[in-house]
Amino acid sequence: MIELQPPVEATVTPGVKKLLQKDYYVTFSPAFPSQLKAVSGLTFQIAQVCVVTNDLAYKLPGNDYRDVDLSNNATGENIYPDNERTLYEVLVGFKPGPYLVHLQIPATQYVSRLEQASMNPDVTIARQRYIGAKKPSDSPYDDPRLFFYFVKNLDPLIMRVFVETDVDYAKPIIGLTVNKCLLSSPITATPDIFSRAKKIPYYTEIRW
Amino acid sequence: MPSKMLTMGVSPTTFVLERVNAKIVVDAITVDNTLGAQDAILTVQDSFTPSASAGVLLPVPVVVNRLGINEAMGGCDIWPPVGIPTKDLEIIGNLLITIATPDGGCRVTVAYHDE
Repeated sequence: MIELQPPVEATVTPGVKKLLQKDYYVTFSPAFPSQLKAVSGLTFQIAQVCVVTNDLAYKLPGNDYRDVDLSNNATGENIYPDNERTLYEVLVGFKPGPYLVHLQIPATQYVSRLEQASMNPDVTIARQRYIGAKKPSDSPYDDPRLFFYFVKNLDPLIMRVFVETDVDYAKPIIGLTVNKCLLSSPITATPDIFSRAKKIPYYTEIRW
Repeated sequence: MPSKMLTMGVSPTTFVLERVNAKIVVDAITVDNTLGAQDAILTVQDSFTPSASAGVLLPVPVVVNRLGINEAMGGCDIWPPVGIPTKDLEIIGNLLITIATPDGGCRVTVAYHDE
């Protein structure tokens, strides 16, 4: 559901498409809860794709943050699909600047944390500010490596955008590439299809 | 790389308006004060309204001074000085330049790009 892809160490020819394509398969984990039963545990073939780009930009003071809600809530940025048969594959890239980003889903629940009780991200505490933080260089604007997978009614994903302490103001600019994927009716996944399908875990599975 | 030349008959003078999804990076500023009536005391400013943040829910417009340039009457110089590597001068809102004493004889050229 959330992926940060590492830089490549080798290349293959012919190249592998970065985005999901028409006729690709996707399999949603059975861990998706009952309110997401339209996709939970099911496999689909992608019938159609359409790429839509968008940019989010904020002018924020130093040593301060803003919670950017990507969902369709009243205060959200409306980057979630409205139809049950739509999957949004969202690539997120950051323009350079003195800021960092923490991911929460749902609000207040950090995606990246360590096991010791005090090792939770907290931008207000210098020692915990960088735990699990995504820097602009981790997912550059022109070569995004941070992937989100959104379906209708998924819990809101929050990006906590924090501007470093040594600047007056900064302008974090977040580039979004939304790959709209129209899902077919659910299909029965043969072992071959299952092995080729893109596996989409639920967020509780990636936060252990 | 676009550039714009304006005279400093009024202060402040707006050189570049904000682009919502980019910063303005100034590459060079040329101050031609050969026809100026006095020394030109210039300030490059960044004018914008911040976004709401956790610390400031209702922000108000701000103006931040980014660079000061003093050009003697009759002089003509370029920033950054020739031979010195360009420093990033980033503007996140509108790029304004003020002059202590408005002077139509002082011409300023700003070269910039979006980033």
